[in-house]
Amino acid sequence: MQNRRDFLKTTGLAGTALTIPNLFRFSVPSAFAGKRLVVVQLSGGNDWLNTVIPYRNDIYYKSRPRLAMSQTEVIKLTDEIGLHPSLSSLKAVFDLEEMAIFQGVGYPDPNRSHFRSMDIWHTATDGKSYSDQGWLGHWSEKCTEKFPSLEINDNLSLAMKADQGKSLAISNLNGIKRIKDDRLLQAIAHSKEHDHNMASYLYQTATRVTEGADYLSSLIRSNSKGASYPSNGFGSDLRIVAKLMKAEAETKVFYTSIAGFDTHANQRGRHERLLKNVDESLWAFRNDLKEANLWDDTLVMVFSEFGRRVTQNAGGGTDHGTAGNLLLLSGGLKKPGLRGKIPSLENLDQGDLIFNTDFRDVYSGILSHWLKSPNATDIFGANIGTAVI
Amino acid sequence: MKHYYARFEFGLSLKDFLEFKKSDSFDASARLRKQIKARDYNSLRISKTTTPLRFKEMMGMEKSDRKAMIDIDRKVVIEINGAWISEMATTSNPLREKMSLFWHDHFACKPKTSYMTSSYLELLRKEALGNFRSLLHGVAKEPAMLLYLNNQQNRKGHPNENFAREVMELFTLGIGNYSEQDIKESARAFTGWSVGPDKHFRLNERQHDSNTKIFFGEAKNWTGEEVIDRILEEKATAAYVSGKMARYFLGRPPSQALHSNLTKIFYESDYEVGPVILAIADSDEFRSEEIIGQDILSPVELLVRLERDFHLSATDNLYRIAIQKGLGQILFQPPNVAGWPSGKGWIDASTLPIRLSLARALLLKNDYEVRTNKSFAQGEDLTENLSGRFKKGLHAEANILDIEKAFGQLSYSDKTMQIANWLIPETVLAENQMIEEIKLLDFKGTKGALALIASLPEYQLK
Repeated sequence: MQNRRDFLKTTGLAGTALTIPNLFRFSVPSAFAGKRLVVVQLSGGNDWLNTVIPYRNDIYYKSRPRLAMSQTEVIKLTDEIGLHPSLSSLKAVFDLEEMAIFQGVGYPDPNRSHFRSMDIWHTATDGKSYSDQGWLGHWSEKCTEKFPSLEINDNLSLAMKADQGKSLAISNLNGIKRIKDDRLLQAIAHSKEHDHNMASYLYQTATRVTEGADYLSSLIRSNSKGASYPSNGFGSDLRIVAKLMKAEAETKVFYTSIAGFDTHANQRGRHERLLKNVDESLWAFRNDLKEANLWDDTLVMVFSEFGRRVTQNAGGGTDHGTAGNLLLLSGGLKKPGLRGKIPSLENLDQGDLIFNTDFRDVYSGILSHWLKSPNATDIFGANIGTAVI
Repeated sequence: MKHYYARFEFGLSLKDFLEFKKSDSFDASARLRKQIKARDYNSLRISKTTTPLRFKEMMGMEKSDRKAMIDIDRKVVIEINGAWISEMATTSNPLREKMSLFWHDHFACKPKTSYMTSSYLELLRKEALGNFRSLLHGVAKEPAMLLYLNNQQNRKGHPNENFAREVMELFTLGIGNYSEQDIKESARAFTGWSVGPDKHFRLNERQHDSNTKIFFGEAKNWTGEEVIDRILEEKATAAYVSGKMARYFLGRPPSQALHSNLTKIFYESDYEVGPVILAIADSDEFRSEEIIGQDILSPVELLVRLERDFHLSATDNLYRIAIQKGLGQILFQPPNVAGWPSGKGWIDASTLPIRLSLARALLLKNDYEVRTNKSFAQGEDLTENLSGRFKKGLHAEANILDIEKAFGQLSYSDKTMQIANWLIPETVLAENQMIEEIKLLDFKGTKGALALIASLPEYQLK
């Protein structure tokens, strides 16, 4: 006898929004099939001004006597702009024309609270309204894949959430194992369909989680030992992502993060270590995917909730700021190199940089050009442009 | 009856469940009235005194002293958090705490220090069942709120509109019932509303703009208090707040008819909270099949249930913080000024497995994992130092003697059915096949039966 879940499966309604009218669903064309997005969140507010450095600017040196990177230390990209000395691999990626550096990225009326500013980046709202739906969660609702998006983290970030979202979160490979070994959870997931509305929603979610864990673990098992990565949290997160990609996971969006960028004090050494970790991990990831022939179809987006104040503070660190950079890395970029304008260090808003590129232009470009979701840009409203990716 | 307890309190205690079987009449209205009328309530049990600490004053200190003070202060915040949870679980007036929790979400705020946390919470608890007008006036002058909404930066000639905007958008009128002009002008009326050296509200006359402002079409020298009173004259405020109260108890928006009735009651009583609560409980909607069991416990409600149902005790509050963290709702740390999600918004691929693992981590000492190394801001996350602390179960002891006493003699099958009867909403129970299926698993004795039922998705419903 067919129960409700089988019915939903055969009619293709499983896991999708029964309550959302069809006109809001857009299909995802097959051209999209191979493209993947990997988000890297630098949590805490990265000091972009010491990451992508205007090394010819006097104001930079005057504002940061203890923190500025000297002209000899900076890894030069152009006559004006260079990278932090920890980023030698990213320099190589830049030279291979596999990196785009967006400059002066932000949004109007910037908020200097970690939480609020991160919310704004996650929900892609204008900063005046609130939402509990993330930009990638919203996208995942509309995918035909069962497991379109995966976050390597304990909790699902707001960016990945949506009412009918399909995002999964795993903390690490043990997390998958824990779900697989949880006999009660498995029994719940495999039980008969429940007719009660809300209970049925919970049972369906349990089913999705266990199916996701089964699916991911089958992929990881079928794959041999991977390339070598820096042995730290972020490096191993990227290693999991690469493993899944190489095993042809249907997952299109991966979300990773690395914390510790809130460098109010003693920034120099801490920031150096953090950037080195990012640099080495991304380089290992790039090479791993390059060898597997996947790099051209993978887009890495690196962002942070804000940049930091132009002037250093009294504690050898920097305080919360506004605009910063956004990095895109891929073997398949149409427009690599420096993008947008260097924000002025002279004309500031309460000591902070003034943005010239709205981050939502980049999101919009990623959704429409990379993930090829035709009406995806509707989320952002009319004032938002679409950056070439 | 179970439905009433689930929605207006923190669930039905075993004692009430057993007693109810003997006599069938239950008067929800009378129980609510009694709680609304009660003036007395417990103050929270906090061993350390909260210091009126502000970080600014610590700038002159030695670095190590400063860190020590911040650590102490954070421990006090954790203690307040735990004491409130404990009060919710043990109080004889759960309605007051339930409404305080509503107001904490409505007036969402992240106090910076333990002193401000305590002051803010005590105001919410004091006025929870009283009058919205006094509550609003009070909250608007709470140091925690003034700082959270940047009103310290709201000065004559340099207005910061954040406070004025959120007061109208989220606390009173709701979007669409005021103009941008009203925000600009009222922000000027709130200039100089700040926190004084004595840590209390202070009107800084020098920063206050006492020129003419045009608010809701009227030109005069508006004060902040007058702006708030004017906002309350708008029926939209009664509609917005009573609608939100109805959603809180019903788990969905009220029908139009019920909503206009509640608006009228709220407005005509000059914003008394009690009559609105009574009208919601009395409505046919509240008792309809579409409502009963069709909402999901918030993380805090779930934690309070576990405390109550298992009689938890512990030497510290860390397990409480760990649960709040894992499920996505830490008291005094709302995601933003719009408050927390609700209903299905609580559930995702990471929170559901954690929810279903809690009963086993508490009763059977299964592992509970909380990794917190991905939080963003140092010093802002109470859970920073919790990593890996819960390898062999959550550190709290359950005491289920009362459950043993009530059901210990029964066969395993009858035991599970009785416990399910007690803990799971009627409408869900009627259709449940899961309990039969799951009995095959190895959960032994009364404790096992309890762990089993409390691990089911149905236990998450109210």
